[in-house]
Amino acid sequence: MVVDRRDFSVNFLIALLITNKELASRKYARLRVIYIWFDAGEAAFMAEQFVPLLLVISLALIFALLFLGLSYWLGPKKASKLKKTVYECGIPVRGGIEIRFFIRFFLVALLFLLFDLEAVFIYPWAVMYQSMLDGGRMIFALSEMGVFVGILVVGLVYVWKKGALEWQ
Amino acid sequence: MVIGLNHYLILAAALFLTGAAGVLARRNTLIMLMGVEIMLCSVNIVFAAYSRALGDMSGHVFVIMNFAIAAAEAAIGLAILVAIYRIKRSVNADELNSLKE
Amino acid sequence: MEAVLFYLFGALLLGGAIAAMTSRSAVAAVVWLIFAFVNAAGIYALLAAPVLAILQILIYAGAIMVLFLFVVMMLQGPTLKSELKSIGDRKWWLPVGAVLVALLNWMHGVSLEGFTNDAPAGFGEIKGVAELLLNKYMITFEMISLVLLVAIIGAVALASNKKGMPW
Repeated sequence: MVVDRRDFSVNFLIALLITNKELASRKYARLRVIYIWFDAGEAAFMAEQFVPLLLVISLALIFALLFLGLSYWLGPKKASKLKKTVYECGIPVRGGIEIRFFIRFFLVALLFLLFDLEAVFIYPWAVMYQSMLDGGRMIFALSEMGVFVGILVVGLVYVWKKGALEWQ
Repeated sequence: MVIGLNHYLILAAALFLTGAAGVLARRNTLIMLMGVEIMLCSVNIVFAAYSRALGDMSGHVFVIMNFAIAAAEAAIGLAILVAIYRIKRSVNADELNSLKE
Repeated sequence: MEAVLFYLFGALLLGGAIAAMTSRSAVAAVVWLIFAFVNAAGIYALLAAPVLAILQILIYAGAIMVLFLFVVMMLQGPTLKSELKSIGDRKWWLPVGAVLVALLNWMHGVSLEGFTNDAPAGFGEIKGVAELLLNKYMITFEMISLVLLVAIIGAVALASNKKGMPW
């Protein structure tokens, strides 16, 4: 299939405007060629579900840049000293931006990161669980996860015993 | 133009060099840690690229493991950094030279 | 299309990383790095690895970099004043730059071939990755748990101090 690739931007815009369902109809047979080109018909390089995501991101970028550019281009620019100050809910700014936090927050953030990661690893197990049940390997699946969570429960107990979860 | 394994390897190499240069040249320990994260990310790209080239998903498993390693490294590294800052009041690598003396 | 996306994501990823490594303030470095890692997710998507793309955004951009931002905000003085002049003095940049130029030179000369095989159906999806992770790489799976345990214990041991904190 030979497609003229010189006018990339035009093709891109057309591809943005039509949806998959419309493509299936005969009316848009010509556009389908372009869409297939856009969809990388040359190689199955990307999972198909990413194409709509890409369209959404491109649209968001285009609109954001368009309106930012328009307001920059059209709007009057009169800078004053007051306008250049940091916006802080409308009240006068007090102090610098380099405030220091209480260290408790830091410890909580650290523990959040690590236990958050643990939750991420439970996800593939949950996906596999049903097929493991069907294969008659329930004990294997449960013991595997049991060991994984068990090791982390040791960590939780340690954190608890150390008093890191208490808010003095 | 077809994109192949070499493209990804070169991208990863350039990324690794960027991270290494950051670690070597910067004196801000925070930014040095970020350089380490960039280097880990470049390794992940190599894993994923070879995985794609060989059609074997084992590489993805190792990337996921690398995510865990990176998170653990960041957590411990930052905790050490905060502990050092508490004593020395500085995150400058040139000032953290007590072991030299 | 693939080439366009690769060069777009690759350039943004590399640019973000370079900007992070050369920015003066640590806050700017963190934000640049978040930008770079989001583009790395795009690279993973191009490599037919949607799981990795999602996890990259979730873990790297979402959790690790936020922790970095947190520490940058917590420690005083994101910018090191003495550092700015010392960057220029370092001779480290020379060999690194030389290697980079050599690499680009080599890239120019070498013949670049595309991926010869198409990705098999279902490649890089959560089902296949989970299958490998839970069966063939079971030990790795449990090791990850151990790594996280070590990190938790280390973090608590380092970050909690009983002897009165200066803040």
